[in-house]
Amino acid sequence: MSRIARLSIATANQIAAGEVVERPASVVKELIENALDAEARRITIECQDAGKRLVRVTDDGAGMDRHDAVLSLERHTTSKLREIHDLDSLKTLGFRGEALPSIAAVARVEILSRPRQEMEATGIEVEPGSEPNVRQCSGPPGTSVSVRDLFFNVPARAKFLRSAAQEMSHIVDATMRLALSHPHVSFGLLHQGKMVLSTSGSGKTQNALAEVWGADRVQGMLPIEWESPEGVVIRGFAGSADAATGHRRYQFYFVNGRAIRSAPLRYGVDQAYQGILPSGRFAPMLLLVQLSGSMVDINVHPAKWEARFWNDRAMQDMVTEAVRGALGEPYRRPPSRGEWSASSSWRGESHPEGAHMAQRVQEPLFSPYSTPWEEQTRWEWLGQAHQRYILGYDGQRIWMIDQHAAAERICYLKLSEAQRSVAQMLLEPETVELGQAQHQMTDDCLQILRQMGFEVESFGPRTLLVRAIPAPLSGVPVRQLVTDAMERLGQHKGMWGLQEARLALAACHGSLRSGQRLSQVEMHALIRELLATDPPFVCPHGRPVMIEIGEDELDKKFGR
Amino acid sequence: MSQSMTPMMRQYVEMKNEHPDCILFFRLGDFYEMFFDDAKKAADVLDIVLTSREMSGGERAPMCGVPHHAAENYLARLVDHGYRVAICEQVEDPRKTKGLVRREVVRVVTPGTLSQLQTKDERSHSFVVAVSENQGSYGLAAVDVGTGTFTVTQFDGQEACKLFSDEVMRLRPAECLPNAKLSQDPAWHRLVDETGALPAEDDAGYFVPERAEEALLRHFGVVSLKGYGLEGKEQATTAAGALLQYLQKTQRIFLAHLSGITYYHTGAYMLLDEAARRNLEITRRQMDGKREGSLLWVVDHTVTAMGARCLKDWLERPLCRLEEINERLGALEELVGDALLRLKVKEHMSPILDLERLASRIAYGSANGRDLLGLAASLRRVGCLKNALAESQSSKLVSLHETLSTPEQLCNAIEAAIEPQPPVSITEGGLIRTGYDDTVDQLRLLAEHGKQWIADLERSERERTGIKSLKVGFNKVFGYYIEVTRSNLGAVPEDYIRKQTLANAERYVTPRLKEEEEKILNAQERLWELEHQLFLELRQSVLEHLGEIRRQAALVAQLDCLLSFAILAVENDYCRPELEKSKIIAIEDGRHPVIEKVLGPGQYVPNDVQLDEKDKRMLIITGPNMAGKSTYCRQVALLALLAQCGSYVPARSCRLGLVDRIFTRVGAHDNLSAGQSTFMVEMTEVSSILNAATDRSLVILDELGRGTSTFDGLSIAWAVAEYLHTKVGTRTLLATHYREMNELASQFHAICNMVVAVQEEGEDIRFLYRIVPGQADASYGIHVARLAGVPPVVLERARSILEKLESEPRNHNHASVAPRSSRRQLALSPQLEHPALRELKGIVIDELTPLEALNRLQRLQRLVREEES
Ligand SMILES: Nc1ncnc2c1ncn2[C@@H]1O[C@H](COP(=O)(O)OP(=O)(O)OP(=O)(O)O)[C@@H](O)[C@H]1O
Ligand SMILES: Nc1ncnc2c1ncn2[C@@H]1O[C@H](COP(=O)(O)OP(=O)(O)OP(=O)(O)O)[C@@H](O)[C@H]1O
Ligand SMILES: [Mg+2]
Ligand SMILES: [Mg+2]
Ligand SMILES: [Zn+2]
Repeated sequence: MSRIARLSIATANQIAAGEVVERPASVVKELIENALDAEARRITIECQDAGKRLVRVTDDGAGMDRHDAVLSLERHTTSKLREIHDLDSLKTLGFRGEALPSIAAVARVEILSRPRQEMEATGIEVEPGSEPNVRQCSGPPGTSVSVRDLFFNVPARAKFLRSAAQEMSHIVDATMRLALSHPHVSFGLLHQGKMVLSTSGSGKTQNALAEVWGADRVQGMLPIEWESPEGVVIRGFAGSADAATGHRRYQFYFVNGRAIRSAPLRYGVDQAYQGILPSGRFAPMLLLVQLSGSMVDINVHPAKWEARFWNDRAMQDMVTEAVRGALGEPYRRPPSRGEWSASSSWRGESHPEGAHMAQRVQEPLFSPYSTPWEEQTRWEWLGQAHQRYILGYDGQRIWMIDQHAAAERICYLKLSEAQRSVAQMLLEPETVELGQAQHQMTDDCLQILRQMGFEVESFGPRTLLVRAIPAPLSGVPVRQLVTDAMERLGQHKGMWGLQEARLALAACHGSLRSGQRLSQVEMHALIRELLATDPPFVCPHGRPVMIEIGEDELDKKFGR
Repeated sequence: MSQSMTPMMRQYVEMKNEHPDCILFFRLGDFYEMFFDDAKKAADVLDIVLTSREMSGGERAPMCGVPHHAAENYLARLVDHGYRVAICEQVEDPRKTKGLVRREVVRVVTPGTLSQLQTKDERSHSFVVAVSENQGSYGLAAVDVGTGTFTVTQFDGQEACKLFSDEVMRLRPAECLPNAKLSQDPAWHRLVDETGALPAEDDAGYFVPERAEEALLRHFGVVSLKGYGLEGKEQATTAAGALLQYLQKTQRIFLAHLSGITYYHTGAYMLLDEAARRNLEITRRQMDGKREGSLLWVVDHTVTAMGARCLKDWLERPLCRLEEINERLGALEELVGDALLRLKVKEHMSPILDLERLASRIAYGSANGRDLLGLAASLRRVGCLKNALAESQSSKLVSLHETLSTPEQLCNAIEAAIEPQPPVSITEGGLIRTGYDDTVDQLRLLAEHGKQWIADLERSERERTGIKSLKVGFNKVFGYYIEVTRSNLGAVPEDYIRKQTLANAERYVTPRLKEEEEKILNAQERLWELEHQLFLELRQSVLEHLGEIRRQAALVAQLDCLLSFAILAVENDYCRPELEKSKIIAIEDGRHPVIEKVLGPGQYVPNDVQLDEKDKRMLIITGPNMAGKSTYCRQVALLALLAQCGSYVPARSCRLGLVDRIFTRVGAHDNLSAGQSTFMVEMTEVSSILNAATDRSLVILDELGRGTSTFDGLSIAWAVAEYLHTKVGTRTLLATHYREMNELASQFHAICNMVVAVQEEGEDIRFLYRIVPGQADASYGIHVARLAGVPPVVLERARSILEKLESEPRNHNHASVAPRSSRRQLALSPQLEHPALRELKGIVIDELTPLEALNRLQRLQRLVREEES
């Protein structure tokens, strides 16, 4: 049995550092936060080897004089907090006085800093376990902190670092978050000397958003502007269903300017998109929550990654309401919960800029909580309109179904089911002539086509011989099916997975296109098939398949 | 001898005689062959084997050749070595002619016209120029055949010759065509040597004014050149016409891509002479001529080649008119302030191809299906750019929105005709879209039916033979076949012909199958020929749109430049300069754009600049070597230049009164090739400054007078400064090591002394790179020598000499020499205090333990003692 012994200071520091410095991205985050606390207007982050070799953050903020610079490296020295009560009114991101000493315990750190009014800068170099080397030198106003060879003295931790690409994506992520929550600061992130990300510091969140996420993703986003009587302010931008992806990489949550991972906020957003997106798809989301310090505790996680709210459930519902408001769709809270729903202010608010979504869905979406499809027998089919929509009446509401979207959904689900790729042999093999474009990618595509249940082979220059097609698509004209599929695959060369290919096929060959007149029998068949699938009724792209008009709504329209 | 020559050799000699100054590329089958002396020269330059060919009765001629598909590279190498190459092609299909194939010279490739084929750097122009001089009036025309750029200008009056040379140096032509008068002028020859341009000869009276004008009128199909601003510009017109004729003669096509000619007047821009361009390293680094390390290298964020060329032009020719500058700045402000707009513009801009180069390829008949489709796609993007600008406010963007447009008709025509992803070759089918031409469709259908017939064969043959597993298939070597597995071989009918044996199957054909296959092939051959024909017609029809395409290209280029400036500003934290009519320069936290980039973030120390007409026209900057004097001066010039290009500038704020010219006199530059010594060059530059500077100019004088003895140098510098201050009234930055110059400040009220702050630390000095009011009290030259690794003995000796010199009274000196402060006194700036003092102030006594206090005390003492020893 070994005996208890006091850890050396160096060891203790290293262990403490473990909580703050997990990976290069943590260093980036801490240093940027310091720069922001120093009221920088411009922050540049340079990385070498995904931050493993070097992270350097340069700002043009307040700077430190020699005395402060030396102190900043000592544990529990901070200029931001004097006693614990200050936490409630904290305006800065830092407060523990832990970041710099923690980093300096596991890396070689160099600080160069100059307050604007001073002639000279102070340079400090320090290695774990040795005295800092302090000198005077030249330098611009502001501070630059270089962190080299992270974890060089803690091989056990260095081992846990991931590939350069992964570490770099963490760094990008950390930078994005801070850039988005501080749109008035201009950021530049460089990796191996190349600009990876930059923001203009224009002060407008939508600018920062576009600069960080790209124009495409941001274009359809709708502003969130919401406030509760309790003084909870929720702002941000909500993505449209079109921009949804299969991951949450573009969902950022902030509480009082601090990037947070928070289950209540996440749930709140998911709940808002219920019925708009199929599960497993996520719209881009920037959510900025402002609330008084007494309603939230941020001192939960050593890296300040988490927050605890005064009431998780209430927070979640507020988020849902705010996001729904932005999407132009009222959130029908289940009556059992949420006592303040009636008094809240969203109802009747107009969303003049809510262009995209709001225009498309003038009427409210069907409610995810009602279940009209159980008793199909009661349905009455009224007919087809615009050769595009099917109208029906279920005894209570009038329903409108987008026939193309419906067919798309059915087809997509069938294709997805066809995991084992049930192929339907053709009576006679058919030849399909390809355009030059399709021809050039045949080899890649044949592979995907085969996985989907096609049986194809090459048959002379620019020609395919098709022997079988996926069973769910039987009856579809073969030539058209294959050329369309190839064309869609071609537009996304190499980037397609099986799932996307299915989506593409379903999209173009829901076998029913809009503009097609349907017989009574065809309509019934389509509806039956549609209702046999599980809710929510949205097409694979997230667009609604059916919308309802209730009796009261009709009454209102007629002024009854 | 000629009697006994083979007919082909006779043809060769005929051609060669027409082009005696060229190497003749003579097309023979798949090769370009060269003979006689040409062969010897080429074999040498190209490092290829020299053989020989029978020429006449047993005589052999030296010969070498290059494969025609790889000819471009060889051509380029020959041209790079200063040769002209005439390309002689077969102009008849050898398969369809009996006897000798007709051949013609289709093009003469020269250094100035190589860019049509190949470019070393698509981001800059390659010009061929024609120059013409008469009675002190100079005309200068320039064409880049690769992009269709055609510009012309004329210089008259006193400064004409200098301005003309500066402009030629700016264009850096690859080839030049002088008129008779200039070609006899030694000054012109020196200029040509410096640019490295290959001179061409006027062997056809190109410069006869009437002929020149006539050529222009005919080419542009107009009756007067008024619309091009050439009226009354005799030399300009002659030069332009001469150049056009020269190109017509060598290029031998209708130069449809020279769709217009732009007359410009250099006086409309901020004037930068060759010295200023060189010293400020605008497009190339002085040391080695590389683009890297130049201002352009930092500034260029353009995404199209057109934009890149335009940006270079913008930087070389900053604007002078306030409205024009503000127009660019206004557009920039919008692009900087609206990220979505900026990103959308970038998104649509990036895929736009080099429209000017495409236009040129079309004119030269070398564009293929991909080029045409690329053209259409790029022009569609132009429409997207237009839409992206729909809600713009600034006048520049609004006008771009109004003028940008997609030539719909042209795009539709191309897109309707060409397959979405056509092959490189234009003779092997797959080029024309289904639905475009009935015959093409029919021929395709024929082939298709043939194939379906073969596919259907599977079922009918299964029925006929009773073999259930019988299959038809295709393979590249044998074509179509019928496959029967080994176990069914017994049932194979008589008429099957075995073609291939596999591990567990045999493959067969039948006569009927072969026949069907033959039909397919026949249809294909006709199809290919027809597709080729249709393509040529389409390409021909594009010619008449080249003017519009080039107009759009110019607009795209401008937008690209604005975008580039916006990205530059965002990525590097630049600010919008305020330009005004005053003569002020007020810069807060200015940075040198290039050095800042080279040093990286957090290194460059920003500095303020204050100049104004009344009280602060001239700054005399002193300070040690390496302290940053030159950097500071150039920084001011570069900021002024950038601002007048309409760019944001690296500073926190910047106010600038318009500058009409920037002059620089920097460091030493030998021009021995031009027969001038270092000092001579310096004085030539100084004299041109004194003669041409106005009260709107900005003058940078860095170590003026360095090239001669101290006293000569000092006297000249002094007199120049006085003159500029008093007589001209320019804004001047003067960096010098003559500390005596500081005296000027006390004699002239608009001259101020500035000094680069350093901190002395024992043996060492630290450069702080801060420019503050005051004057230097020592040069620290020996210190810098030590930094550079000069051996200690030499340093020691130097130090003792210096001491001796300094202790001697300067009896021979200037009337009044500024009183020198003691070397130890740190009088650079009041803000600099002793480190010990600062540390003492910083101590928080409450926090100190007695032991720590003692330690600190010891440290402080050591600091002070070190200082003393
Ligand atoms: N970029 C900077 N500019 C100016 N001062 C800084 C900068 N970085 C650090 N400092 C000073 O150094 C102190 C210590 O920084 P450190 O990050 O270790 O702690 P903190 O920010 O106060 O708290 P936390 O541990 O929560 O980040 C800060 O309180 C601040 O005064
Ligand atoms: N403001 C600055 N911030 C940081 N580094 C600078 C700054 N100015 C100059 N330097 C550095 O100092 C070097 C020398 O500067 P510069 O050539 O301007 O000195 P100088 O005073 O003109 O010297 P000399 O008298 O020898 O000509 C530059 O190459 C650059 O690396
Ligand atoms: Mg901190
Ligand atoms: Mg210098
Ligand atoms: Zn859809």
